[in-house]
Amino acid sequence: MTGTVLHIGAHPDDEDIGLLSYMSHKFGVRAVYWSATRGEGGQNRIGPYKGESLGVFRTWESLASRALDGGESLYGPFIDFGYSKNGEESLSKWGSKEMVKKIVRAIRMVQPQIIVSRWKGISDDFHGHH
Amino acid sequence: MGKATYAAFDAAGDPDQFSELEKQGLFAWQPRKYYHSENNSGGDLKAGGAVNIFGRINREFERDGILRINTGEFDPIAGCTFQEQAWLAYNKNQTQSMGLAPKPGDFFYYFSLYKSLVSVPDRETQMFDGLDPTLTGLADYPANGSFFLRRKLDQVKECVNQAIQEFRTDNPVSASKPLLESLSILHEIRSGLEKEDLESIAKKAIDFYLAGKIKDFEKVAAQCLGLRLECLADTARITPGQPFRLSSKLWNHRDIQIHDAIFKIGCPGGWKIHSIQPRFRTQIKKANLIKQLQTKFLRLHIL
Repeated sequence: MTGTVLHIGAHPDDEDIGLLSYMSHKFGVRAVYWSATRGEGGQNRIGPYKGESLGVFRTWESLASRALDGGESLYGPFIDFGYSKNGEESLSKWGSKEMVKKIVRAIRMVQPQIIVSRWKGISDDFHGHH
Repeated sequence: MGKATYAAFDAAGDPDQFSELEKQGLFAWQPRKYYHSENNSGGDLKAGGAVNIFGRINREFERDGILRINTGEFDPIAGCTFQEQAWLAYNKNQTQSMGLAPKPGDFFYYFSLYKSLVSVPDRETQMFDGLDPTLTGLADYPANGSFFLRRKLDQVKECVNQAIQEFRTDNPVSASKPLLESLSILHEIRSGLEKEDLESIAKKAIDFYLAGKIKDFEKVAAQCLGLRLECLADTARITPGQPFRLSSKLWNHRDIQIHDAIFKIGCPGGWKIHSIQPRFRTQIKKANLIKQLQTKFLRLHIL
């Protein structure tokens, strides 16, 4: 198969996970989820890890997810700095050109036929990172 | 992230943008379609918004330009629906308190087609409508309809179909022959690319793609043949500059005939191998043959 879907989100659990399972298991195509961050700024309901340690732990969690849904995980280099109310804050901290570049890098590495963006970059997206 | 993704879609296929990525072996690649998810939109916001309608039919999205997929379809291999598998996977996000009970039944996702560079029907039924998701899709893009590539990739597809026909879970060895033929054809395509009348950037992108595809075929062929390669360092963590021992073993579980086995070590860029003292040996264990066992001493430095 040449078919590849690259799904793009901001955090390790943003993905439309049914899409990954459906594409990889039903069609046998490559379904890759690229998360801009490793979710360092999220909550931790099961342990004391925060920040960088939580990012490592959440990386393992998303890899474990992919082992079941048949997809693959890739990560961007951006740090999840916690909840943000608007996109401008994310753009200023991460750099808009750098964000575009890292997504371009993921596209050129994965070589997908289809991009599925989890977010539209509008207020309905609930989080400034989105 | 959503805004950056729009810009990235347009920039990814332009070799003049972010050309520095070529140093990493990454070349311009233009995705053919761009969707964005509609799965957090709609619904009565006072009643919790999209959360209350997630997975259900949403009349607002039952229109042209929006694709609906039903992940509640049954997967006969897994014995449950695609969505059940998805929820089991999602529940691995334990730090985020994910705990969704997988249950069978329809489950709908909606995706808006924001941009398509291929012709598609007004109301799509699958995400790959208008595209060839099989290997020959590579001949459409980036090979711009190359006859050579299509003919050769058709041959690979025929071999794969043959392998599927011959595959038996209890004895997959017979499927390996057409898979190895596929590998030969893929190598042939790579070596013949240079002569093709294609843009240089397209050749590079195809070559990069085929290199990955060859690894896929090698992996599957090796599994069918019962070959397994182990490569282990003698210590779990390596400090830059620290000497360590690397051991490689090639397991031949199905006792296939191997004429030669050559081990090569690939190191990340910036590493230096100061000395290599290979020691090869072959081990035969009672009933099954372990073809080769090789140990090398390395002294690696990360610069």
